[in-house]
Amino acid sequence: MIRNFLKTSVRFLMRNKTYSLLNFLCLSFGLTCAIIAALYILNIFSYDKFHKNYDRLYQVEAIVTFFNGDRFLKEPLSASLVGDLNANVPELEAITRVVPGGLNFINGDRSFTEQGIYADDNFLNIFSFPMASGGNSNEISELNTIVISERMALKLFETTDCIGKTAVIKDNEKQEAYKITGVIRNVPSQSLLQFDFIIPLSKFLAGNPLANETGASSCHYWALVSENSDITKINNKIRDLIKNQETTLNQELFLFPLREKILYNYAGGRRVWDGMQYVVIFGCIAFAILLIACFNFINLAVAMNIKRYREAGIKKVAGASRSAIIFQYLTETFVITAISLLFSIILVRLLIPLVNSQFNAGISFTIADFRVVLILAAIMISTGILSGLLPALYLSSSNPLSVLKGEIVKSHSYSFFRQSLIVFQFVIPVVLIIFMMIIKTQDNYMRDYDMGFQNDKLIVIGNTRNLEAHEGSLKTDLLSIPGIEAVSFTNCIPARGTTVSNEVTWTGKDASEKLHFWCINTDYQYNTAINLNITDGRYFSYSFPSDSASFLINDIAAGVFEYDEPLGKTISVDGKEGTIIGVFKDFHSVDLAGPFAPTIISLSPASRNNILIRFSSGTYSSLKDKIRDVYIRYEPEMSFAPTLYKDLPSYSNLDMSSDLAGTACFIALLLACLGLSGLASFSASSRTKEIGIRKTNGATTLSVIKLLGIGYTRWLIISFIIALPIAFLLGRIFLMRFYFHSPLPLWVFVAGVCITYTIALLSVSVQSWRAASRNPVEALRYE
Amino acid sequence: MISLKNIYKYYDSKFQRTFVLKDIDLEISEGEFVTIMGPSGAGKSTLLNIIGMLDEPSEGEYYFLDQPAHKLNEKKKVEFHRNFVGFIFQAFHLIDEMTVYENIETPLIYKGVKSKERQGLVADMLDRFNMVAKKDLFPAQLSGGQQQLVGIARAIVGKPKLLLADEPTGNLHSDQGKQIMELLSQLNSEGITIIQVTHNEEFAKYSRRIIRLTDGLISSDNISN
Ligand SMILES: Nc1ncnc2c1ncn2[C@@H]1O[C@H](COP(=O)(O)OP(=O)(O)O)[C@@H](O)[C@H]1O
Ligand SMILES: [Mg+2]
Repeated sequence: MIRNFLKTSVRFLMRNKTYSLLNFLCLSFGLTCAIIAALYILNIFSYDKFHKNYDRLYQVEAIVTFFNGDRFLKEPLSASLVGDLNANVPELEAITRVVPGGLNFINGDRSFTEQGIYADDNFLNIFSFPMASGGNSNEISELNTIVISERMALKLFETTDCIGKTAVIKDNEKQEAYKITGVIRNVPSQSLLQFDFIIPLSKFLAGNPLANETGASSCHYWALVSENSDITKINNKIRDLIKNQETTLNQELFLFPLREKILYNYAGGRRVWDGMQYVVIFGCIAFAILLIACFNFINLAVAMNIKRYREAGIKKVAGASRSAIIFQYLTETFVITAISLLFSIILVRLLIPLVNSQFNAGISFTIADFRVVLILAAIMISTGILSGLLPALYLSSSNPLSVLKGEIVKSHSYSFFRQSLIVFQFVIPVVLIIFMMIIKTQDNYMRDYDMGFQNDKLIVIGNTRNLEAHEGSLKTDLLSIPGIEAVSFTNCIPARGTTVSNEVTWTGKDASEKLHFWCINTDYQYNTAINLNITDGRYFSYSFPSDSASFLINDIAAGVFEYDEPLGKTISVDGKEGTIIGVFKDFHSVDLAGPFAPTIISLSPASRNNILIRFSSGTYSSLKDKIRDVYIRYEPEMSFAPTLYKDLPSYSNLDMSSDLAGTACFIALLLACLGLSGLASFSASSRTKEIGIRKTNGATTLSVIKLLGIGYTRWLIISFIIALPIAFLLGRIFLMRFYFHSPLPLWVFVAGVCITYTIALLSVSVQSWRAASRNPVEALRYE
Repeated sequence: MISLKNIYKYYDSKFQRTFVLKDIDLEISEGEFVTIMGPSGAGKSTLLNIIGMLDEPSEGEYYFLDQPAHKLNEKKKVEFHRNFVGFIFQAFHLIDEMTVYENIETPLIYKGVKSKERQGLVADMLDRFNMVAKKDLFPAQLSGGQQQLVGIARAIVGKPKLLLADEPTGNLHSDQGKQIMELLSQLNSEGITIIQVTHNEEFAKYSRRIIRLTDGLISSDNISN
């Protein structure tokens, strides 16, 4: 029975090639988007699932409350906290401390920088990173022992069979040998923790005694919670554990579930979407696009089914029941969907590398994964039903009587419904276009935000120990490149973050009060590189030898100190006392999402992870290679590439969102227009006779196109009326997330509407033109 | 077999009620060959459609094989179409996307006949109508007469008791028409009850009973020998 149905379906599709091709393409694109989104979501939700204790693993973290009300998440805590936790919270079955870090390994004359962790010896019992060789526990208990990944083993020894061998770590000029006691399988990409080696934490603690001090930010804490324990209860127990310690003031501890680490983050003390954001964005957009594709299908199919209405009537006379007709049509839809699915699987395969590089998605696609098969099946079935059911109902409602009487079947059937579908189809691209432009506007606003320096003439490159050791000569070499004006080592790339300290004291300070300050550690050239807005005093200068222990503060910090005349006053930062020699303002050290925070600039050499290079003449591309040449002289393993400040990934990750919205609105618009033009071609061809008569009566081609276009304009206008407030609302909500945001750009609304309208009308006109430009005699004869 | 009692069919428009059939009483027994004649618009097709249960009377009772057909639900009607009645139309109404073979096969599929049996039945039909060579052609590739042959084959392949033919020769040359009429009378002699509508007096003579319809009323009902 099905075979018989299919034969006629295939013939029908072959006879109406434009229609079939349109439907096929729309569905394929829709399915492709849906599959990619599903894979993306699947990937995110597969993170860390391989851990046996997945549901019982929590990270102990702190929320820090700043005096201006801002709240931040803090992951590293003092190494000594483990005692407090063990003593106070029996529900924590096991606690393991982790310190991530990169180390330099050498083998003969080859050297490799590898990322790994220091961890307590129970680490491998709590987390399930399977061993490739070596036993399971005590592998990392002795001081100079190390467990490495297979990948690293191959790199170092060209074999994974290396238990008992020695790995040599080079730190500056110092070399140290570690005995390899285990090899673990490579950490899966779907793991939050990424590392290639594990060294006992005791080794780290031995070298860093300060890590044990209260308030130190040294270790990440992972806890295995005993079964059936009440997380809220534990959270209540640990919340105030360190809150009133002097050095950790205002830090509240809480448990962050491993399963949520990838999905959520904390900003301003509130839980916000992290990976979840993209899950939702990807999901919504893909669903919307799939809907558009299905609606296209419905619209075209209902339009087309007017031709098949007769067939359905005849079948009824031949004894077909309603359900048989519905079933037959659904089967046909499923065949089209299945073919589209096959095609979209090919598309997905081709597109995945692109998606991965563009959206940093890390997705993979194998039919071997049963979940993927389930997803494909679910997508296909829902698509088939969604797009096939309505045309099927329409067909099955065929009244044989009117068919036999030869009555002209009204194309008005379901017309209101179909027109609402068109409206909906265009609401989506309009909203997306406007939203994308709002994101872009904010992105540009933040990029071009006047931070007092020309951001297109600033280059950023990562600092390393080797470079740090040769600071002076590196600077001289770089400055000798013509065009380069300043080279500055710092922990603060403007508006990209810096370090924080609560060890700040000043005269008149309430001793019990500990406040957090943003600290910029840098050198004498920082100001030349980024040109601070100094309102009082001056920047550090070699001509004042005492400057090495001085500070610059911003106006906000001056307000906190309650210094009316801050110049010459003394403060102490991290135990080092010094004089204030300058006051600056309007400098964004962290980002533009929150208000200005109290900030202190010092010449401390700690954690200066970046080098800023300012140039005045020449171009980035001409300087890039010269900088690289100098860099390699001091750091042969070029682990960082110079980047133009302007090209740095935006701190708020707007690139990805706007790219995503952009891609989505392109596809949505394309699909909506494909559908519309298909409909236009159908309705133009069903009006062939009318057009012919109009033309013989003297209507011009243009006036006929206009006539055909007017019908669509009405529906487009309705979709604009619906889309604008939605886009407006979304845009406002989006911009409100930023403390410093561009005003809602009104032109994007006009532009969004114009772009959509123009493209939609163009796609309609092409079809209408084909109908309208036909020779009227020919058109009439055709009838 | 067919018994119509006080059948009325009317359409209500805003201000008036238009009667298409008025107080029709009609008995047709099994094995009859009945022709319905009358001017255009007299209600012939309407009557035929009511008998074929494609249309419903506005008032009155209709018994088919002593079953009250006016009370049948949708499902029973589908059963009725599958098992008891075949239709032939002036405009043939073949399905364009199906070959001759598939068109004939369609009712059997809906009837749920097994594939093997279907093949046999359709092959019989093709044989009988000398269309074996044309079985893979599409309707558009056939002449009108051939299309109507396919139409008849499709109508009778399911072995209906009743064959309803609404101006089956209306679109055909008289030669082709004659061929169709001969076929019908042969089918009748094999036991199928046939009710046809025609304007052609000559073709009407193939049947023994002629009912004339004027303005929705039966004006005469002649049985000849
Ligand atoms: N849906 C309808 N609404 C109103 N009048 C109708 C409708 N269908 C048929 N008629 C009228 O019923 C009358 C009989 O039609 P029909 O049975 O087709 O006549 P015949 O087949 O004898 O030519 C015609 O006058 C026609 O106009
Ligand atoms: Mg008629």
